[in-house]
Amino acid sequence: MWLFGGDKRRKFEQLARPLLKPLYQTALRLTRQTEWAEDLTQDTLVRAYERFHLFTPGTNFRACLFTILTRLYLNDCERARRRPSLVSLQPDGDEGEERDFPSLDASGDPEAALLKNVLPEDIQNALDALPEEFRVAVILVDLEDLSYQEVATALDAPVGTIRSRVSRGRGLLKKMLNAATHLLLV
Amino acid sequence: MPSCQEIRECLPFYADSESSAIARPEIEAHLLECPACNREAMAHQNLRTGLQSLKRSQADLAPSPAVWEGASARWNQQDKRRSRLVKARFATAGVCLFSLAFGGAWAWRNSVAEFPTAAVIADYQNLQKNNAPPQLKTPDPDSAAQWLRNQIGAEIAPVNLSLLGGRLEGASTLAQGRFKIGRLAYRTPAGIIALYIAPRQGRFDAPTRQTEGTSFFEPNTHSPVALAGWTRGGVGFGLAGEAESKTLEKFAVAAVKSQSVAE
Repeated sequence: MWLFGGDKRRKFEQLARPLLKPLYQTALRLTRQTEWAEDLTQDTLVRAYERFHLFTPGTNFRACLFTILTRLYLNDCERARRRPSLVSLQPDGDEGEERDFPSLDASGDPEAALLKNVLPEDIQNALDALPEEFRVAVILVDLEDLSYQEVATALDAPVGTIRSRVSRGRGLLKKMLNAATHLLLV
Repeated sequence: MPSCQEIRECLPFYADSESSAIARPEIEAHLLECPACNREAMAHQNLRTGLQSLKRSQADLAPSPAVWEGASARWNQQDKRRSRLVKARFATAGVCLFSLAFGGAWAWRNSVAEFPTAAVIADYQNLQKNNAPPQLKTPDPDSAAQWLRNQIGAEIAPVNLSLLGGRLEGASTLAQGRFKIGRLAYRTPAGIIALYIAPRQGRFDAPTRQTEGTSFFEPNTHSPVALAGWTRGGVGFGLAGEAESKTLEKFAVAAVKSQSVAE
């Protein structure tokens, strides 16, 4: 896209500003560290702006940003080879208070009723405990609503591999949630 | 009919509304009939809903304003850097273009073309036929050289053939393409001899012969006219005469010596 100076900046900010929060939330889910997530978000925005001239209008800018974010995160992990300590993802002052959780409309279904007892923290804990490659794939597909193809691009892996990782990740999640809540989801 | 195992393998993608090996209507039909698979499908759906709920519960999480401000400051730096880079590229392109143009002009100005042998022979034959070499008011080598310098814009040393009985009769110029050629006509015991001076046309594309330190070019002219050519500083010199080539070469050697003494 041939945009210069002010035009480029304006257009970029117009597209990126609404994605700041989702981007940060994803960074936080991936890193589980506030400071790291903020750094990652800022780096993503800077990298995206640097390459904005390559962006084709009409394509999925959101997916581009998430791809950059994921790759930066994986690079960070690779570089540091560190396992971050866990922090709560509950918003301040809202810890465990509000349970805006599965509103399953499965009247009469015992499973749906059982799910009401599963807390967001339980899901978060189960998600955090997943092996890294499953965790990243599940976060991108199930929480960020990226398509399998977009995740495959972001992770530089075949779509089949992503399908497999998501499927196995979900299987593990179900098992962990079962164990955590002593309830059977299946 | 697909088996339960096959259906279950497709359920994660069915829950995501993604395509799978088995078509959606077929999966739906199976789920209506098979309670176990239906429970499995519901579990997938519930998990997905649970994850979405987790997302909703974290919807208020926002980065500190410093994130956007910091990014903004770095974008400013990027813009400045890019602007400097663009300017530097334009400047480099300008310098390259100028160098190219200047180099091209210099190369064109200083390129050495081939000595116009045919034109010189033709002119000499014309000179012979009219038997009237151009006259000069003061026919001496110095003033002739000076006059030619002004006419053809080349540094020319005076050529004196008096030691071999040659007397300068006149100087003139003739046009040859984009060049101007100078001509000095001498009356000698071997007949009229003309020295042609061609600036930037000192290339002779034929074998040359070394005589007394100078490379002479002697083309086969297929006519009674003989030619002895040589080069000095990119300027082509050609001595034409209706004489034996040995005799003509003697005059040519004398002309070169005379030039060297004058320089």
